[in-house]
Amino acid sequence: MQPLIQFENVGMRYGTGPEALRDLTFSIPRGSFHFITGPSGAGKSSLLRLLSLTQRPSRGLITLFGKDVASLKRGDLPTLRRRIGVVFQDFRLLDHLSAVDNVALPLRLAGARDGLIRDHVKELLRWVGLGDHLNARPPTLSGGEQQRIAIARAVINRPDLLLADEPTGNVDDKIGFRLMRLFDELNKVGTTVIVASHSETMIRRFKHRVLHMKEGQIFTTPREVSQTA
Amino acid sequence: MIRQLFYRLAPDRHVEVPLTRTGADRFVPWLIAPMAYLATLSLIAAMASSVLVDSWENGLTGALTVQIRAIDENDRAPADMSVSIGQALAILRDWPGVAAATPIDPPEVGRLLEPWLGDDLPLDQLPLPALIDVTLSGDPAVDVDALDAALSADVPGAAIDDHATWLADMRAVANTVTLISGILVVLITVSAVATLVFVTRAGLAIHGHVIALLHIIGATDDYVARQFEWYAFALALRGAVIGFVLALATLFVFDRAVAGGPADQLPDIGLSAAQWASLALVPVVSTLLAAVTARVTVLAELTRMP
Repeated sequence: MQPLIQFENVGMRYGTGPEALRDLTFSIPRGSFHFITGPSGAGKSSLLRLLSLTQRPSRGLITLFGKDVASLKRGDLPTLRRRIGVVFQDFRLLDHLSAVDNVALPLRLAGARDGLIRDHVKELLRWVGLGDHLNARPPTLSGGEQQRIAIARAVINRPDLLLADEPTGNVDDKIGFRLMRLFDELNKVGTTVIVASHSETMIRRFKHRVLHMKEGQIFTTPREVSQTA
Repeated sequence: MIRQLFYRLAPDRHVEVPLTRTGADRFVPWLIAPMAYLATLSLIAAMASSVLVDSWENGLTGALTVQIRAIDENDRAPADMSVSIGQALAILRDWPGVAAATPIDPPEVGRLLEPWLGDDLPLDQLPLPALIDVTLSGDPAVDVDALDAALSADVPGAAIDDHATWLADMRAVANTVTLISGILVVLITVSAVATLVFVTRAGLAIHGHVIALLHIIGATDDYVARQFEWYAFALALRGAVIGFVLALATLFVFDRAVAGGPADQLPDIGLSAAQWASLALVPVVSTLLAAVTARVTVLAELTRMP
């Protein structure tokens, strides 16, 4: 079966600076769950930017959902991006919208009906423990609550690929565990999950495959990830 | 109010880019209002001048005036003006294409001159010319030069005024007014469009992080552009209606102010229903122009984003 993600000799730099990612060659199978770990500046967030199609590689070949990313036209990107859920380290919620409207965004962009949207969004917000804050604006919520909204927004439309950058960094262990269970459940129904995390506790607890990054390279090769470089 | 209008006009009423909070674009209605105001007045001026000249032209087409000077080019007065008038009438009534020739009474000539000379002058002692009002049948067409030559030969001091030169001058004035109005409208439009482009770009810069997020989630450029487009539409609609209403109010006040004055002697320059309808297009076009400008600007700028 064709992998969901394939990197071949991929490098990426910001502007004219040094390469933030170097010589990445690996593939990630459909339906798998990976942690990416490594020290700050190792390139975890840059790798997630490539995967979320917000940056293009400076060199090399990236194949995502069977498509060569470099050959994608601008008009092709929205459709692919709707298949990807992203949880940002800094949440990136829209402060002027309520929790419900923030979470509903991906469904609205996909053209879902209003009634369906409200039912799904409310149910998910209740599930992540925010049933009492449906109409609250993000600035009135704690960091942990905002993070849960961000996660709910990323998973509301059952993405094929879920990318999360330190998703449990601002929540206590109990909530963090619950959120990781949500990712696990999504993974079981077919979503490929990639989580960048510093949390050794979470990584040990969930026993998924781990990509170790350092200085823009993947320097360990977990057995499930085929690295040919 | 703008926010309510925006939300009411927005097609899905879900507005992710918080444009109403920018502040920089609050002056947009006050940019569009003078544009609509000046465009409306310019169009009215162009239409009114055209209507005025058309009216004069229609009134004078098919008519001539024969003038018999009281003193000829040699400073000699005709022996008997009534004889000269009779000779001229005889020539005119026999001329093919002339339907009627009627001398204008001296008191009527005096009345025509009243606005310039007043009503207390001894008109009967002044060397006023005799005037003959000539109506043409149109079939056959009168050779004005031949008629003028025939009159000059037999009637000392007679000459034809077919008003062509005067009408040509008036038409040139009307065309100039139309041209200046057109240039004004174009200049106003160009400056308004340039400012709207600047305001839209500022909005894009201010809300760049929101737009980037929408893109990551899967928004198309069209989706983002629509939000700016509707906002510009709502702002411009307000300004355009204000400008249009003010222009009509100005016209009304002007009409009242000149009523009873010398302008009353001008022909009626009331605009036709079609002209009023085209004037009503000013706010519509201004609003659509603002919306299209915002849309095109956003789409052009977004192609530079990842």
